Amino acid sequence: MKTEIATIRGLKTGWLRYPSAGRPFLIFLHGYPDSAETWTAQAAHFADRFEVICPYIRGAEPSEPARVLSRYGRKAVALDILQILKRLDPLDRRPIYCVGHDLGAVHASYLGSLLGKRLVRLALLGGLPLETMAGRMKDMRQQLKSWYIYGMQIPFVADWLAPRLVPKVAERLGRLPASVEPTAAGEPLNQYRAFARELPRLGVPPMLEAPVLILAGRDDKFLVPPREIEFSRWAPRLQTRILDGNHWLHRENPARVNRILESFFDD
Amino acid sequence: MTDLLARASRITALPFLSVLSPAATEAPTREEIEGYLASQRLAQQAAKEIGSLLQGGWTEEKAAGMLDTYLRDNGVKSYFHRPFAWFGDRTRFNGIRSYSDFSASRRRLGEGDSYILDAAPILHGFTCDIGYSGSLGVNPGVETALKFLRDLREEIPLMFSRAKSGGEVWEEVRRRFEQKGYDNIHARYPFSVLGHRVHRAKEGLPWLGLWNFGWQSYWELASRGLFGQLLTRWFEGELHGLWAVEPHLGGPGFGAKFEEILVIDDKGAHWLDERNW
Repeated sequence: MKTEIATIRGLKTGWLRYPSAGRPFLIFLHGYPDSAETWTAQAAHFADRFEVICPYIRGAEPSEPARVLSRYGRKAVALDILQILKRLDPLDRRPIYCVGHDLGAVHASYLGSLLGKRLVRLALLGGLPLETMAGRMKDMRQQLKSWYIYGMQIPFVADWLAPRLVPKVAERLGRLPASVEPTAAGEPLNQYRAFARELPRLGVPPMLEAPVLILAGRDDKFLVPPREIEFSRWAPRLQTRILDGNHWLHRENPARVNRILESFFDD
Repeated sequence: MTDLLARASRITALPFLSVLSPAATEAPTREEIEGYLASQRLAQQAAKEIGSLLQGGWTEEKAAGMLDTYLRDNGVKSYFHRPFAWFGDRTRFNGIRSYSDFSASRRRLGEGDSYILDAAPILHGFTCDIGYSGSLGVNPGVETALKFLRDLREEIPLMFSRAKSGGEVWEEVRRRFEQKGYDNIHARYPFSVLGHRVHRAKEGLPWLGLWNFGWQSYWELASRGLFGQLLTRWFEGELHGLWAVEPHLGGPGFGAKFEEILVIDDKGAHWLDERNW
């Protein structure tokens, strides 16, 4: 496993890479407040079958923070990842499996729509496409669980408080098993702000032909369990599974999540 | 009418407004050349990069959006016109009847489809306008057309150096297309332009525009009399200055173009960027 860094559209961008020349890519996208290391157990498990890539989302060290908010949005992050993939596979030959957790699931579902036939499988853990979350604006249960997103929108205050408070909240409410680096809670909160600005222009999410798996924890303190009717229009080959657990399913019981992903990839 | 348009094309600036919008017929300074070059090279790099990332299933809207993202991430705040993306037979403007039809649509890119990416960013006050064509996978018709356009690119500066007027160049390009059996698609642009002048422009009020064109495009062209800024078949005016030249041909089910800045001065005509990108 190695950490690779490249300058992408003017900003240093890092990723963990478990090289495996010629094999399909397996991309893991972390959420907030997290970093690429959150996927250590999954990366180690799948590294013999795939070339595993775990990008550090914009603002999570070593991926340099940006001065413009749009660099934290779905298009810019997707473009970051596409450009990483282009470096590793200039001829676009290798198929792609993609897994996203939390905000990483928002990015993964958008990225999936750009991969065409290269996308073989898409798995979303503890997170949903932005269009689906927008559809939950009138769902009071979800709005109560999403209380912190409103706080993230407050300039300066949220930037000062987040590195101090968010790790504690994540550990206490989300049962995040290990402590969170302050940088992971700082700049990357701009993703919430960037998504808020995308909301007025959202339409129907693009159709994904590849099979999609959504995993959610029954006791997730931040996400109301998904219902298949929320996705039927954009993911006709969808499975949802609600598991015992909280928000960080892949950290709480990595072996279980690995088994489920393996079965999904092989299905 | 054509006589009127020919006379209008000789106007390079308007009384009173020339204080704000001077005639764009002066040779650019070295600093200006560097500015236009930086703007054009960024736009070309963006189009090439996004072109290389295109996959089956992308919509024109998505492609134009990613091109916009790339340019903004590299410092573009404003546009002469926002990115266009056309796929399949829309690259020869089939089905395009009104200005709004030119906008990127939900048409999806399929295997073998031609595509055109066209963007005109203003970078640090320097406007450029580029067009980039290709196909997703193999399309022999597009490949042949691109080779023809590459050869035509070599000849266009000579055409300008030899011709008595811009209208003659317009006709010469049309004849070349006809000889090869291609349709003249740039005849379907507003005013049937083969090109238009580019100017230094302000970057403020980036949200202000119409039909994908920023306010700068309307102001910069109209405040100088419009027809002296557009390379139409009737053009008889002064040619010195910077022009975004965009020959656009149509074949069976596809279209292809290139677009980049041509500099015309006392020494003749030459591409702003001598590299054939």
